[in-house]
Amino acid sequence: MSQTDQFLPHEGRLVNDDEISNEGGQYKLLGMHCKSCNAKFFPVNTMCLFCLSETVEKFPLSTQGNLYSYSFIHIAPKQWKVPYGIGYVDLPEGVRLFGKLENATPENWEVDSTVHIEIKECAKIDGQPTQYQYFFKSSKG
Amino acid sequence: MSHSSFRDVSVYGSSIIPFGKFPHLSLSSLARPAVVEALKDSGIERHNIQALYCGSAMSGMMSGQRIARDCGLSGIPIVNAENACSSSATAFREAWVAVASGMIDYALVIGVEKLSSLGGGTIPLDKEDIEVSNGMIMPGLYAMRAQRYLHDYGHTVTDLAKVTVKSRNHGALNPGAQFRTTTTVEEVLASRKVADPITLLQCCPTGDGAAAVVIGPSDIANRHVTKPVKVIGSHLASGKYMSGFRELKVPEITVRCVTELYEEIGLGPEDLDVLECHDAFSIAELLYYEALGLCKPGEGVKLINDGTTSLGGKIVVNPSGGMLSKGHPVGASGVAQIVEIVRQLQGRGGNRQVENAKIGLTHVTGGGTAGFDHGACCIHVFGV
Repeated sequence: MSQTDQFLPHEGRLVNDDEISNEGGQYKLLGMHCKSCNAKFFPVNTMCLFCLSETVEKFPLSTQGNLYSYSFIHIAPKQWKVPYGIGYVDLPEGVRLFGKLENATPENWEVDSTVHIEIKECAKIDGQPTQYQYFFKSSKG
Repeated sequence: MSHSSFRDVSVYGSSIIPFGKFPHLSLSSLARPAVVEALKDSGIERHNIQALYCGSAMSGMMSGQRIARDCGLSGIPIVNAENACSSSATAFREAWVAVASGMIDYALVIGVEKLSSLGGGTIPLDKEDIEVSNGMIMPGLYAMRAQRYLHDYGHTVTDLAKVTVKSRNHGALNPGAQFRTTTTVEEVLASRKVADPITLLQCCPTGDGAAAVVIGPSDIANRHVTKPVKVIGSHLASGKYMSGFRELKVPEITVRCVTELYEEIGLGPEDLDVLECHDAFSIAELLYYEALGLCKPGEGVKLINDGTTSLGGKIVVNPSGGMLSKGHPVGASGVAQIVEIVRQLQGRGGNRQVENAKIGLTHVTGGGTAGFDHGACCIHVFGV
């Protein structure tokens, strides 16, 4: 997980340095926890979207969750290479993530199966901070 | 919300143009025939219209003014409403509020959209959106609903395809529908893949269209027209933000909107004779049967299979062919649905007339935005 050896092109919603935690090369997406109303949500924000409190803190999200639903997209705006997979993944802490599936091979994906959240570095652009992408990885390949 | 101080409002006149692709026509050229005919149908003179409400999602600025200029209606207050698929239903609601409150007497409501100018494909969504920027498209959202629906209830893609077959059967009877031919389950399933399990014939076509209605106070409606149709209720809801596990099979915004409306007007799904619902995709019609209370969760498929919602059935849904066959020029659809229901209640449904229709409902919802089931939902109930 979280290898940085494979660089990805800049595509889709990129994650910045301050939106992930890095514990010895182990990347995790950061979610938000509101200390006033206890809400948990994604992505990073400066205030709680439920009670508007500013006493919010970042916390590392789980690296695996349940694939609630998914689809393979065959017709999409020009910027996307089709087919590609999309899905909703429910994390144990009660946060749902939307993201792309690692591949569009139907045999690899199943509703209510466990998937991993992978984070990889994007190709570096001179003078720009490093950015990352997250996507879902099936245990079946 | 209580409207005890509101007066009753009726639809006096209505009109709709055939939906299709008309890239050579301007937005106001699309709308003008509908406006002119709705005015004629209403018995209200052009100069007596006191305000214009125009719903459109992607026509750019001042769509209402551009149409007013070309219809001899310029100078009056004009409100342009954008609420994604619910744009012109929202415009209708605002007009209803203005007339019901007594602020004005006669209002013109237009729904108009020219999607052919966007060059086809899926509807462009907000690029800043966290899901859209990661590959979300509207067919993808409904496809994920369908995937979960089939998984949880054990239904099949054949069940989804039957929705399109039923829609096309109705559309074939509507001279103004974009698709006027029948189809088969095999043909639907063999059509191009869009977002699994949704195929092309399970998606509404993109196209152009316009529809218009004139509304006024119910108590003097008979001076102008022989068959006014009363607005029994109007409700608008916006999406509720959630970060947790949203149940994709239950469109919360529609459930909330219709529950509040049924409560307000003291009617329920059992009172409806005919309705137009937001069937932008095959799965949508099934989900909205359940959300609008026509059946229990998971039983939408049964209503298609036993003919309950087909012409001749107990509660006819989308007699116009709905969005799947009539077409879905996004901002035009709200008023388009209202025109269909009004004309059904007036007995002007032609060869797709629902017998003895007394009470009808229109339902539009949409707007793909992260954290929401949908951005907006607008529901109206009409009666004679």
